[in-house]
Amino acid sequence: MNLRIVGAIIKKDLRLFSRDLFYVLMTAFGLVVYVAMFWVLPSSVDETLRLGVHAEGMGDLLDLGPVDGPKEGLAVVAFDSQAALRDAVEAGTDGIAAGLDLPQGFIEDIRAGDQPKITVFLRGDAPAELRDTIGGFVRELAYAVASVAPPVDMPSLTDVVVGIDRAGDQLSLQDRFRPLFAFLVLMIETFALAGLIATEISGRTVVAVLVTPATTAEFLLAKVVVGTGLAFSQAVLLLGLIGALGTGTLTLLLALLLGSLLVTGVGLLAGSTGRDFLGIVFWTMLFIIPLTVPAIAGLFPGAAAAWVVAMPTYGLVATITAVTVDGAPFRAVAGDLGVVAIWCVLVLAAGLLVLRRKVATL
Amino acid sequence: MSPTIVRTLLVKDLRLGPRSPLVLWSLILPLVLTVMVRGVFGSLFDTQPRLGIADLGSSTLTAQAQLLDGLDVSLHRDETALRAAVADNAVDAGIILSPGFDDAVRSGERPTLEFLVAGESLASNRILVAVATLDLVRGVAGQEPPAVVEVVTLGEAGLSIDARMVPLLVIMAVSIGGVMAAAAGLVQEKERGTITALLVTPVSAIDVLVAKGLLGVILATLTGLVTLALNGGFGGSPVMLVLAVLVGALMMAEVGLLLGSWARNQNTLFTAWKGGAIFLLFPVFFYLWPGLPQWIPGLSPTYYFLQPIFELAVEGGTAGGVWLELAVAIAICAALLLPVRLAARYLEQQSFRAQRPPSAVADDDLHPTPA
Amino acid sequence: MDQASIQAVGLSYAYGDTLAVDDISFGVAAGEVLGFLGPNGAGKSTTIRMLTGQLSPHRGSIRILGMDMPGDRTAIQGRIGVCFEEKNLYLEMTAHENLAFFATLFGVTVDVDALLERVGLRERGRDRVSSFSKGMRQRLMITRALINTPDVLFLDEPTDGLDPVSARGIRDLIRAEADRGAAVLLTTHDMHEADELSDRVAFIDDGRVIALDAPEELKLAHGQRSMRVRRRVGGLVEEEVIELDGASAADQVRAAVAKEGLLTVHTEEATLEDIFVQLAGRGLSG
Repeated sequence: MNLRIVGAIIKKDLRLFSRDLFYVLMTAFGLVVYVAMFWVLPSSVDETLRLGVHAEGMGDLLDLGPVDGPKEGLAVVAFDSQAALRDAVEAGTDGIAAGLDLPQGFIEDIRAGDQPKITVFLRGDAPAELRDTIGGFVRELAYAVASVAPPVDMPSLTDVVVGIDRAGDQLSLQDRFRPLFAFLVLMIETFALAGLIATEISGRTVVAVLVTPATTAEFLLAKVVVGTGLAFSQAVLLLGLIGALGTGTLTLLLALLLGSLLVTGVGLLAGSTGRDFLGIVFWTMLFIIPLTVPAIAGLFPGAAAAWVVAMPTYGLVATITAVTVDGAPFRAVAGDLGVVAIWCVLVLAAGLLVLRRKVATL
Repeated sequence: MSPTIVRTLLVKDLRLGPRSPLVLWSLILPLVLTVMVRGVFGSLFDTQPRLGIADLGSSTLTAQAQLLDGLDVSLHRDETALRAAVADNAVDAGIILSPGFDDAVRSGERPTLEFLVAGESLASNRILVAVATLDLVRGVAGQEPPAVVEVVTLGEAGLSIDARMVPLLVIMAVSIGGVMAAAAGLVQEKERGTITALLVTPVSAIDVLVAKGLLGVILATLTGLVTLALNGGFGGSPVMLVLAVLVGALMMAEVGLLLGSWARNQNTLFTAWKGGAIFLLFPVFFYLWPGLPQWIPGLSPTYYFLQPIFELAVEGGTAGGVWLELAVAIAICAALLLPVRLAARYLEQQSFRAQRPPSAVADDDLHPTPA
Repeated sequence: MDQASIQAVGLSYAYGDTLAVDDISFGVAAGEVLGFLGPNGAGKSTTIRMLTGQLSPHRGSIRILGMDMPGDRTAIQGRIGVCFEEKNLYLEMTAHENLAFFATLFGVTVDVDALLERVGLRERGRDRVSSFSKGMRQRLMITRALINTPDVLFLDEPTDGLDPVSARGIRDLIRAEADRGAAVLLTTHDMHEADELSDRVAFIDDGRVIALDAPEELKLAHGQRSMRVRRRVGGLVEEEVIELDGASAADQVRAAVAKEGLLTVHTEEATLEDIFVQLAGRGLSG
């Protein structure tokens, strides 16, 4: 392996990239847009259920509470009249999703066993869970007023939390989008590398290089270095600009490096298979879309399906989230990174093999 | 412009279609995206509170819980499995129903309800799940509620996330077929030099652009309609919907023609798309997150065909409710015709300039080459 | 043949079921120019690709400068220069940068400006290749092939598409390299070029060498010489063609020249294309 030759090819490739001023400007512009989008996203999560209440003279009623839960979970807003309550619910004022209209003499009627009617106003687009449970919520309130204890010994919800209790400190959209933005930057550079390779193949400049002392291995190594370097540097820059580099920087850098190698492998594959721009887009998208699944999955709460966990990029997404949100140490994410590393080896090997064979047939 | 020539060019491109990755991609993409959204992401889009139950004694509570629409109930074989699910945030909360739970509740023994809460569950979800559980337990115990609850629904029902994804799916399908088919097709012809070969025949640049544009419109309309069909159908006004898709396809194709005429190579084209596509695509985010300010998408031209499609296909709207946006979309398409005309002229100049010796001085080849 | 810079023995190569090169053997000595002449698809480029290490022959052996190809490929490639038929230059780089890059690959230090001066491109050295005309790109291609002062030059259609003046310049340059001692293997379907430039010419058709000798010897062996005599007779121009290889040729020439009204006398000899047609049964452009 002649490093002088590898260096010359790398220098040449970087020069070709930089010569396309438009590419340079638009890449920078894209980074700016992603960063701007990130900072526009909410940095906190509203996990409070807001209920409006019209209950004259019963302001402390809901302090009884149907369950002993986290304080962040419920907020009660009082209204002076049923009409005001109804308007507020319909308009969704202050995020109020439902309103309880407790009739005059509600407490007395319950204690007398008269089964008073409680009207609950609910927005039409209220989530299904609220539609199903608001009735039970109100009934529990009535039971509490009637001093009818539940038939089970219900623990306090703050005492039975499994894992880190994130009440009041949930993953915000910013937190969830962070890995996605990093992955988008990596993904875009896949196209650039694939285009570079396809141009070298279609223009037959690779043939000109390979009839010099430059070997195929040196040519391939240069492509890997260029692809990885461009993807890595942009991803690091992005994470730096969105304030993600602080705790666990080395772990993050390792994750990004592995991600860069992974997408470089994809770029090698796509560049080899595509004869022209359209082919490159087709093949690159074919490989990239499945790899995007874990990053998009991270946008939504809930555990990812088992097959999503098995995707090559899942470990990357999980690592970025764990490190940037929880400050997870390296040992906590080493397993995930290990899986990513294995995928890197496989994808990179596949890309190198396919490109090598393609070059040999030119 | 010659319709005969345009038809000839279009037929040539359509014949090449099956050999072109772009055409294949334009046809496959809607299916791929729809499968991903509906089948693959189904569970991930479900934001309902999730209750896990480890029913060790065949309690009636389990069956009752499963009847609730607002809770995503999952059954786990034992306490260990349930605890693992809670720890993994696979469920928001879990309850362990020991053998004889129902009997203990009915007999007034007040057994301890083993209730687990996932640390990452939203505070509001914890309360809702707990309340729902208590309500179910009181049902098992046969307790009569001390009050009657009447729920009055105000306003219209909201849309599922699947429905809110439709604009995203449609615009992706339409832009791949519309923008990329037209733009990439043009750039490809320029890179291969075939554009010049065409322009030295009776074919004019506008003939070329119209043919490429038609190809884009055809692909975009087809893929847009297929996407809609795969995602819920055409609503009550299919004719109007087809018109909206057609207008969207035309707009995207015009954008593609402008891009393709300007970009000198594939790299430039793709870079422009990478950087600029967000201005065309960003309205979809406002359908996904309806809480965001809804005036912003109006700043993008694509809003004016996306909104009619959304209203007609998803919200069941009528033609009367969308005519204004559609009229604006048509006006935008009309306004883009002039730039496309200018693009034809630019394309012609660009192609012929590429054929003349690039040096301003007389061609070096005519001068003796020094030994 | 032991001294040959290029030595090919029994080379064969097939693309699938199509035998592109069929048992070709030849040698090229240092300072010699061997022209490979044949129509498109005859196997010329495939032969060069085998000799330059792009393809491994299915049968046969290749020795370049005494080293085995492909076994000593890297060492050989450090001492050869290749000018391809296709213009595989980096269009977004300047001429200077293209050459400097390849100089680095060869590990040589060269005066790039002097090289560009040699082909009349010095003043355009800092311009991007994308702005070059076809002829300029071809000259740059040749220059790139010379960057490592090669001992062996492979030139695939080096003057293809050039105007006559530029083409002459390229041929002068090729001759100069041969005079320097480089072995030159040149493929072309331009018989004039082959005739003018080559010390020996190999006719290749359907993957086989059908003749290999100096141009003059080929003409003598296979060609027919003639003389065209034109005279004015009664206001009309008559033309008489006399075959010079016949026994009575001398008498016919004397008689023709002696007649009145003589206008012009031209002698002709067979062209390489005539000979190729005779040997292969078809033309060079077939």
